[in-house]
Amino acid sequence: METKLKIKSVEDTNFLAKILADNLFEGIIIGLTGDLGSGKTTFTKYLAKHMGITDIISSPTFMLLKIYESKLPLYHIDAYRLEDIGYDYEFDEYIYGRGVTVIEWYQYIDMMLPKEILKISLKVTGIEEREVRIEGEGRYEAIIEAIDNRYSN
Amino acid sequence: MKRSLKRLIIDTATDYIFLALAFGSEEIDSIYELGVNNHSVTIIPFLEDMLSKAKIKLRDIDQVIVGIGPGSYTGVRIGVTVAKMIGYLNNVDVYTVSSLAFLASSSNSKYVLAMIDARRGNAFMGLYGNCNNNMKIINSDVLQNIDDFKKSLDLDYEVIQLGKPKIDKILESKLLSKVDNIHDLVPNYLQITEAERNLRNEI
Repeated sequence: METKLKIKSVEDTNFLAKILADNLFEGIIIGLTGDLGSGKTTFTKYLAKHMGITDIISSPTFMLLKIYESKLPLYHIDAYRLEDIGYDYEFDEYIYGRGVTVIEWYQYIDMMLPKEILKISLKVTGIEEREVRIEGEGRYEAIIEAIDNRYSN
Repeated sequence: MKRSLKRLIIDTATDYIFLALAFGSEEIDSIYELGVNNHSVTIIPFLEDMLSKAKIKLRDIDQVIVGIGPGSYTGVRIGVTVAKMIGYLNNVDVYTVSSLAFLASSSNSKYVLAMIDARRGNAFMGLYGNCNNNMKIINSDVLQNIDDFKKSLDLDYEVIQLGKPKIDKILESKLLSKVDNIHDLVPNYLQITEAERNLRNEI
């Protein structure tokens, strides 16, 4: 199942993140892809805000993984530096854990992820405009339906 | 009277941290607690607690027995590091045991399949047997697809994924192997990261 939508400003990113935050579950995995500056970390910042996290969210490009405590812990992973290097099994404990995992550049570790994840791709179409494609199967379909419902209203 | 060995037993390869203290083969105290991604925080306080309850000091430990995996990639290193440190500081013998053997020891079934999830349909698995109070390895530890491995087994076994180790069974078995040089002690991951694989290919 997939859906497409257009974002016109960071306020729209905030809106999308809020819908996601309202539909989180233990063990959810969100994979983000899109060029540098397309808004992957910005989306994660808003998601964290709606999860009640008050820490400053910064890109984990150099850390690979940052952990934020909240009702559901947020595991923020950036796999960009893992291209052609590959996976570290240390990630398993988080990705297959009971928190919320957000993976920027998930495609670089795609083969190590479960089949079912929520894939969000961001395409730059203007200074603040983005085209967003969201895909997911199985237990992720409810999230896509929730997004469709909120956007059709 | 012969003085009994003060033995410290450690395993951190699963979601549960396991620490035990034995005098000879007799268990004096043990800790078995859930702590996902948390063993590095709890291991030293737990150890200190256990030693103080037994009224002994760390330097009194005569022998360390450690689970070296396979199991949690992050977890197994914690126990191995602590075992290595104590072995080196006290200059005492360190013995290694499979973490799957620790798991299997919790059951007294004739055949026990100890299993630790390795994700993506795979698990670390080891088949152990109990015969006349003697625990033995039947099929050495593997990392394999769970269904494929089960199909390859032609006997009745109990699957164990969780259980507090029975120390006396481990200590009296032949499953312990002595570490000759403490600096050579490393975990048994049964898997390597792609970065390591790439490095090996380059050499």
